[in-house]
Amino acid sequence: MTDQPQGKGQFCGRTRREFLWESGAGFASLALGGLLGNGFFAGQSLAADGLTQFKSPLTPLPAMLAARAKSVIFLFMYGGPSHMDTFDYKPALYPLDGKTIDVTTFGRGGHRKQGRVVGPKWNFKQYGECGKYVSDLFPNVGSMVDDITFLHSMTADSPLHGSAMLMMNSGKLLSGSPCLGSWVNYGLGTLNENLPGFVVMLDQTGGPISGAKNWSSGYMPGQYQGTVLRSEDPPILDLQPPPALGGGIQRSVLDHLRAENAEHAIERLGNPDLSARIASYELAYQMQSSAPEAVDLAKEDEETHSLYGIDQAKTQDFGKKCLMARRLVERGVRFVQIYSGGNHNDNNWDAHGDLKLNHDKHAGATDLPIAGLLKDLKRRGMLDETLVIWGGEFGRQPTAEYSEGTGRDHNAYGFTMWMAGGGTKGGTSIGQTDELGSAAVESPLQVKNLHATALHLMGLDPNRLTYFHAGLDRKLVGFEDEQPIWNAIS
Amino acid sequence: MVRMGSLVPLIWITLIGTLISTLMIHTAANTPASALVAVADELAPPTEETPTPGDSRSAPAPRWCDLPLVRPSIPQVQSTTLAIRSDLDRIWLHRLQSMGLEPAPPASEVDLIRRLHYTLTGLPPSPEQVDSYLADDTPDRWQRLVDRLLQDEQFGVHWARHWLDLVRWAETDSYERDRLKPGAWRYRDWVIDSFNADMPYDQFVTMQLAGDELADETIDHHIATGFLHLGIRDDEPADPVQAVYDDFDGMLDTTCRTMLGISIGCARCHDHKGDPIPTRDYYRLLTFFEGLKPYKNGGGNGISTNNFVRTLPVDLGRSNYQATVQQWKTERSERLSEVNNLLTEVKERWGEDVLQQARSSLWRGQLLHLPFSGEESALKEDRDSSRGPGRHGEGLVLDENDRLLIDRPVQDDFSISLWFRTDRQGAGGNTDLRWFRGTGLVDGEIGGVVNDFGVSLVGDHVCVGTGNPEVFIHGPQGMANGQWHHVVFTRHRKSGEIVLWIDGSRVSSGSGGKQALDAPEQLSIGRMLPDHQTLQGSLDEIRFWDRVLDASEVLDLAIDGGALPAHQQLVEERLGMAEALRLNAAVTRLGQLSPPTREEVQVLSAQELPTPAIGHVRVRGTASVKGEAVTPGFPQILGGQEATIVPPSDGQSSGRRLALASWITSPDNPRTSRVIANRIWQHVFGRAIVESPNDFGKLGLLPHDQQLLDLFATEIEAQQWSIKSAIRLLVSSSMFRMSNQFDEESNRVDPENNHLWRFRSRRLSAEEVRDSVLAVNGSLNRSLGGPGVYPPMPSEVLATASRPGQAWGQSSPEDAARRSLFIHVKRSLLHPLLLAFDMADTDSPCPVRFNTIQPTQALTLLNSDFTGKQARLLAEKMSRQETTLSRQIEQVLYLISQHPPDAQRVERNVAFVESLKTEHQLDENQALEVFCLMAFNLNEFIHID
Repeated sequence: MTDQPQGKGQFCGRTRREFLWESGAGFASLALGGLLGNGFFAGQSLAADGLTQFKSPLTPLPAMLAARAKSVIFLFMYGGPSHMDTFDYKPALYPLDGKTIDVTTFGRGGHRKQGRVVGPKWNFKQYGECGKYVSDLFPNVGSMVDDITFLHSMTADSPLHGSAMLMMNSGKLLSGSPCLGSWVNYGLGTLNENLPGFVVMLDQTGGPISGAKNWSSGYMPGQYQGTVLRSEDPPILDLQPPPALGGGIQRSVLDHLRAENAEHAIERLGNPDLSARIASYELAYQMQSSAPEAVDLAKEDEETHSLYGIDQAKTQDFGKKCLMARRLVERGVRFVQIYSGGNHNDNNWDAHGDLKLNHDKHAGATDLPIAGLLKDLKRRGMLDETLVIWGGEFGRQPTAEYSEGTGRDHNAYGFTMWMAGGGTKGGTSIGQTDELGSAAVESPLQVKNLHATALHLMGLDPNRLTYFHAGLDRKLVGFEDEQPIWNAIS
Repeated sequence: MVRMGSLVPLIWITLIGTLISTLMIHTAANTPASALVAVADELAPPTEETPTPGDSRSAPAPRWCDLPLVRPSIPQVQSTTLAIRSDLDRIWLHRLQSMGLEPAPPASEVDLIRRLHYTLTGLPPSPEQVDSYLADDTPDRWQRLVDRLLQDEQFGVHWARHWLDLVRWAETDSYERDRLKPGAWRYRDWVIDSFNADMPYDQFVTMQLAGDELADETIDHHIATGFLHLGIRDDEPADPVQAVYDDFDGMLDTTCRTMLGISIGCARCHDHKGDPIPTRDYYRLLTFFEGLKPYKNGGGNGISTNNFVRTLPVDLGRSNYQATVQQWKTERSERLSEVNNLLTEVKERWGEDVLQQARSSLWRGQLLHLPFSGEESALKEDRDSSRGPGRHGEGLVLDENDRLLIDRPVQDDFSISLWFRTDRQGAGGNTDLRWFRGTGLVDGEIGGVVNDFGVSLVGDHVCVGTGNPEVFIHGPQGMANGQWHHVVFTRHRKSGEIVLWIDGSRVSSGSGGKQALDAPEQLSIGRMLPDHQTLQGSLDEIRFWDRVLDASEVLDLAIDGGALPAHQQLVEERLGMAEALRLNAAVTRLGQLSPPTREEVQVLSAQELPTPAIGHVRVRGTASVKGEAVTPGFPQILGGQEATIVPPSDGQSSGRRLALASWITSPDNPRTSRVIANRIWQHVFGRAIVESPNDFGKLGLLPHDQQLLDLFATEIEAQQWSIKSAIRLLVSSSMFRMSNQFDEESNRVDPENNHLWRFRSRRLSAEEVRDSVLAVNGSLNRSLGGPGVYPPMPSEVLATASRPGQAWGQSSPEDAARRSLFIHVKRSLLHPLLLAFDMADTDSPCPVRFNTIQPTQALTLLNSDFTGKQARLLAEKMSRQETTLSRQIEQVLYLISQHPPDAQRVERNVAFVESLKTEHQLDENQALEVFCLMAFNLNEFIHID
């Protein structure tokens, strides 16, 4: 038992509180404590009037630090977008097109020392006051560069989708750990008890590889796992009452159920689980109306639809999801993750074959919606408190994977991600890859620095936010202390 | 809208009054660290052993759990209110009395029956079971009920789940491909069987760690070692060496936590800060596992399944199979030469023509013959195939991705005959024997439920089938043995009957669709029609008829002539009756002579390298950086001895794991029986005595009552580690038979009920929720064992998979109603209801389930397809069984809780159903269905008192 605040050097220290988790929250009262939070007693006067205010299991909790952001929107470019064809301008690479050069790479094709350069397939031009070079794949995002902080020296521990996806989402190569969205909700609770605190929207072609492992709460309880939200009805699994309970029948059932359960509880004093369960039905009922409202895009005007590209076939799907994300964070959802790309191969950014075809498709579907999201957040004054993260699980190599074609293999040695809003600087670029874009050479950043930055901006100390599991105080950023990317923060 | 009734405020107020002290502590439970530092001190557990001044750093006093286990002395204790039934009761009551606590009064009989049924089987009692117990007035009825439930095979299903939580049992690897672990289900079945057979716990542990290293092993010993291979496995790791050590770490970590209550993970990278476990201890322990073949031998996305999956004969080759085969061969060849001699004589004396004439009827209706000797004009495509030695002259030789196509010659009645030879098992393994999963022989597979058919080699079996409806039949094992085998597949359109013949014997039949099988335009030879899975071997003499061959015709093809009645007639005419009878006898015998088969199973099991690796410390946990060399040995806190290793005489392994198992199960090991005793206690009384069951160390919690735990542990040892006896002891106690009645005074003294002054009520577990819904409406399929089943998965969930269409299978409605333990566990696609109700995490050992209460649980029980459908079935059952609404309601309420509702309650619920009809215009059936759905949401259904 540690008798000091946790932190440096306290690898295995933990508090009794965490043991309650470790022991499976087996205490009967825990669930109630969790469910009703600190407002439990305050709520009782209302309950005595028969007008109980039910509290969410994710009741808001005080932040550790001054929070810069309230919510995160993570735009996950699954498959690994090519940085040298999007935001990492490499003029030296164009003239080398087709030439075989010495370069160390590690991707799906294993370790290589040499390769045939694929020159960038798009031209770059300068945007904004900062004069940032952005490729023709992202003209609309280009127009927002003064709000964007580019991280050009990202690195990951794996250049293979399975483990790299888990790394980007949960900080670990091994499956079974909670995701960034779980940590944020564990640390902060939600601002809207009628909506899930961690929402995931998937591509139409399917989930990313490893499916639900990418939004799992791992060893934390299930309330911290991501909820999959769909752009068609019903938005959440089992949210909609079945026909048998339609037309107000469900409300009658719930009223009767509550009366019956109350009767049952009378004879069972000292069993708070029973009351908590009664309360959970009211929360469920409220979610049924809140969630569809939150994603009802008919409430948005035509101009907004058009801003997000919802009026164009190519951008409609991703545009809808971006607009839904804005509506969700507006309503207090802490963490929204949208996948661009799903399934396998060219259904996502994994351009092993024809780079042009692949990236034209995926950038074409997302450029306008992403820019629309940034503009919309900004004009509503929400960008300051919403951290937007863009990127994939890794980038791509400057050289071709096969003897023919333009496909690039995976590259975890150096790639680009970017952040906007939520207390980040904007108009800034951090770190550099070499002139080929093959590896980070200046200020290399790791995934844990990105995670630390997100937690820090959300008001959580990445080195003190811990969860005791299996003999260790677990942190999202690993055992050692890690720093946020300070020069990305305004 | 009706708000909560007038009685409710009373509950809330009372709750506040009685629970303040508890809640003051536990509302903090899911607050992040920052908010809690302040309260952490005040929550400090009882003080640890006081360190001895001066020497505490060099030699810390052993922890309680590392001291020898000694049976505590039993106090004298008396009670006027309850029966003292055992020494456990004495220690428990003595402790309560010393704290001034009064045990709760005995529970009601119905509460007890319900509680016992769930504790032992995870299922509710049926009304008949309750009635017969209540009607029984013999004094030992409780013991007889206990014994009966311990004998019920559902006991093993329920208790296996507790163990499977600890060993992170799942049937796939996780990561990109989330591959199936072949044979993982056999391990699950072995655990069920072991609990049902009451296997002593020491044997149970030993078999899992080192079953293969024991003398006189059986197939079960190999299946049990599947324990070692249940973890996650990255098929495409960035650092393959590290990944292999992650795998070993998973084995060691699971072993230490599950069997010893030691959390050792920290010591992989640095000396453990909590318990005195240096890094060297970790690597000495790891060495016990380092002899195992690794799951990966190289890069790429392959997994070396041959290193842990193999096909073993069920008798492990002990019976003299080869002799049986030899005997069969001898007799077959004798009979065949008899046939041949007679026919040769006819041929020599009267010429080939008479024989051909006798056989001509066989070719009636033959539409296509592919002899593979010379040009084959029927082939529409021939990709890379070659010709070589066939069954008759030349034949087709296939390898890699070769493929041949022909236009489909048949669709209604047909017979397909072929010869094949291979020594490589077909695709699809040996558990799921559906033809389209296999390797092509003659195939017309078209995706979906369509009018198709085919013949393939699945694993070690020939399988055939027809589509729409999908019907599959298969032959015996042993088909990939390098010998020529003859296959005939017949189909009779009018009856839908399909028959499979192997080497002249009819081996299986089935009933399929009766329509024209015209979906495939073409048939693929030697490869599946969707262009995958080529047979790596030879094919010859493929023939198609538009009629169904009979038994003599099939045998004639299989023995190359002589079995037709026409042959017998020919011999009789030319050689006389006696010779004809000889021919007849020989042919009959040939028809009866099926090749001896040997039952083989695919098992997930331990296999060791010929030379086990020398162990090393891996510096800071980095597998590729070797430090000091280490030998297998035990941790310092438990003595620190070197292991005594005796390699088994079969030469197949190092004996290291057996040495580890012997040490764990040694009577001198102070931890093992305490750890299992604590777990059994946990599952009977809702919480363990040491509430961190996987960690008895310094970072774990102290026992609420060490004497009670130690006594129970010694009792288990005294019963030769019989789990059933241990459970019997607990459920026979007065502790188990208490009610959960609340008491303000006791609650003040022991608000967490750590000392069990009242029974702990609990919510049903995820599996119990689903199984109980099915049990209540009578649709639960209680059969045990076999490969995992696939209940319907909501399309919303399937859409989350990276290959939405291929992620989940489909089971029959009967299989979909199996107990939850038998649902296939795919790590990346878990069952939503089980997930909502806190099923165990699949990736690390789960000692105690979370017990959350969340709105998603309410949404699942109210709105899911599953509960909607089950409510409908319950309503239908009630409509059939009972005539009046009040009886239907009474019966439903009784079924969900085993408590008969009083008249007032029935009346209130009748009024509710009536109001559904009037206010929402529901008919009788609809209203009853809604009522049944409501009933599945009642607290009395989901809670056990």
